[in-house]
Amino acid sequence: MSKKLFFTILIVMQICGLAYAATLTPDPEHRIVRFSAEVSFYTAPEISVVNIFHKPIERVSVNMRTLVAVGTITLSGPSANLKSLVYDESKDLSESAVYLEYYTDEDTAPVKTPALYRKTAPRTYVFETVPLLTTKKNIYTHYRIIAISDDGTIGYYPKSGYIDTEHDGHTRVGSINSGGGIRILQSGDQRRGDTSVQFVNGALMSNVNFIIRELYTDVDPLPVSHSIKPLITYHFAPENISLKDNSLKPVISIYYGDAPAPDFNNIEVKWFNINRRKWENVSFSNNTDLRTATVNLAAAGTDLGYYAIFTKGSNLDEGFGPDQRVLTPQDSKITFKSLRDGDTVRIYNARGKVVKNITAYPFEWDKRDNNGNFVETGSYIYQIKVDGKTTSGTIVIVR
Amino acid sequence: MIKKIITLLSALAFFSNQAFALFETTYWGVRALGMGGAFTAVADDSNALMYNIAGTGEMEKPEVSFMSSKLFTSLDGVDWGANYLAGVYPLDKRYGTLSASWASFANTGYRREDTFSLGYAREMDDVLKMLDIEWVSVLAGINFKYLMTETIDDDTSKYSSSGFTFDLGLLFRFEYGISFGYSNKYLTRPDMGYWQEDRIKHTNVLGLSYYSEEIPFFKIPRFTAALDYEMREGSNLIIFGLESKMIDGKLAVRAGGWESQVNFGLGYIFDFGGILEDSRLYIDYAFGLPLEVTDSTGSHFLSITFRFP
Repeated sequence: MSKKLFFTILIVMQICGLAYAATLTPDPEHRIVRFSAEVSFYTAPEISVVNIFHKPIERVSVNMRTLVAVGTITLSGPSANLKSLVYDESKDLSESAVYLEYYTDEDTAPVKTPALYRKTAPRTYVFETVPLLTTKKNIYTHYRIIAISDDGTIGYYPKSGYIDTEHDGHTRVGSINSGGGIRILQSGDQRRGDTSVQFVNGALMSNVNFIIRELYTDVDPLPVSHSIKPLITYHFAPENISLKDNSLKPVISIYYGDAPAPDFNNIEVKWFNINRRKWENVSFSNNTDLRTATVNLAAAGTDLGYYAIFTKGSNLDEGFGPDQRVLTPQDSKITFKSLRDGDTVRIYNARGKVVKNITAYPFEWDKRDNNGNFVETGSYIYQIKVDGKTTSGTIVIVR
Repeated sequence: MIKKIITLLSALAFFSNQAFALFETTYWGVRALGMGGAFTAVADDSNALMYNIAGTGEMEKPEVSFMSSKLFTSLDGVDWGANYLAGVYPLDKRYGTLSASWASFANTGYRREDTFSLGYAREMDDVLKMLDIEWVSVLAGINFKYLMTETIDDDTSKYSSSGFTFDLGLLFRFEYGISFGYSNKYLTRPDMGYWQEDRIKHTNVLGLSYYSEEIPFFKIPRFTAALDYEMREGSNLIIFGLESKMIDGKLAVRAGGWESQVNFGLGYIFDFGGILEDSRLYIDYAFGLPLEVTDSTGSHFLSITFRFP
């Protein structure tokens, strides 16, 4: 563009501006030019939000197999309440505003189960799902929490997808360093406590990987055989750890759930003494609300290893022989006590002939011979060999 | 011939298996036990009531015997014993022999099995003579038994049962010291159960024995070798036994056993004079060494037998 043209345009713009300015009403005092114009804005309508706060359950106790999720729900926006103010077990299930939606690997579609909930503050609820029994072990349960406000807004936890449980099975591995800490084996019932091992700061001399394992009562071998079975058993490993001082031994918490129902005070805690090959009572504190028994290992004078909850007064007699010597048709089997792999039991008939060899846990005799046939009525001799020493006794089979 | 016998015995041993219990505890008769219990074809004294009743038919003098024993000694928690009392009374040869016995096995504090028996046996030579058979001597017998059991449960409850049955026995004495015996026991298979049917297993025993006044070359005097094959409804057992009587027949040395036990025995005969002339007192001892039960100092059996003139 030529210079002449540019400057021509500039001059014309200034003239137009001046002309326009002349049309404005001058402020006689301040000579400020005020502009007036109409401005309008578009306002989006307000929406309700349902927030669910919940600590995910990653594991369900292998023996109790009860999943209970707890948490809180807060509402924001126009809706201040859940679909119904309160839900308890007296109401119809369809009235519940909070659900646990779940499915297992064997289900074809998700299933809903209601949660109990109540308002604790404006726009705030606490919830607790109805106990869900997951009867099979090694089956994943996938769940999410759903809450519905009174205007139909739905909140989810997690916001997408489902929480997967059982990915740790019946074992939890985690490390604790010299700074102390706690490792937890979740029970799956968030109304109650968990199994854990806790060290104070400075107890450990280095980083240690801990394994907490809950034993399946029907599969996992106990450290010794016995006719009286524990209600629940845990193994804390490693059993031997280096500590700066024995007074800094950990505190363990053992979850027992509903195992000793109905009397949750009717329990005792035993620790398996490897050197003596026997269960020994230990002092403990019992929290029946959390269903946990806590043992201070320094006070108890014990180490990590096997800990079990027994019914109070369980008399685990000395000796390896069976508690029962005469087997009637009502008795399907007997157990040789306090034995472990490496020990042997032999049953002989009256002619001194071996009819049964038992070399592995659970060291039970089901009245059958080595060929699987029931033995005859009569008297038999048993011999138990432990660490090279033999104990003998007699058993009678009657019909 | 010997090879065939060994082959047959080996085959029988292969099929030998044991699952004995109810009234099978044959721990009676010390002389018989000293020979391992292989007595079915020997059966020539008061022990015969338990092994082959037919053998009492050839006894010529009355005899009373009492035995006591302790089984699997040195095993804490095992207190087993067996007792035996028997009497034999021969009538005239034409009429046969009567006998009676009581045998008891006890697992002290837990269980007891008692057998009461009444027996009758007879030589059948007169019958064989009529049939013109002279190369074998045959004896036959029957033994009526009353069986009792008592068991004390762990909670001290007592249970008992009883039943009747009988045994049949045959004994064949051939030339050259060979004998063959057959005993058929518990023919009626009485039900001895407390809550369920629990019948005693039917038992067949075949016995073979050989007797020689002296084994040549080895010079073993009054030598008896015996073999029993016991069949008990699927459970079989081979038992062997040996006996030699030395010092003019007064001192007996015995050995025998089965798969899981070896027995040894000694016996001595005392002869009396005076008013008891022709009577005899037998003292017998047997020791059973279990081969599979460990830490036991064995089973010990002692008997006294009096043979009347």
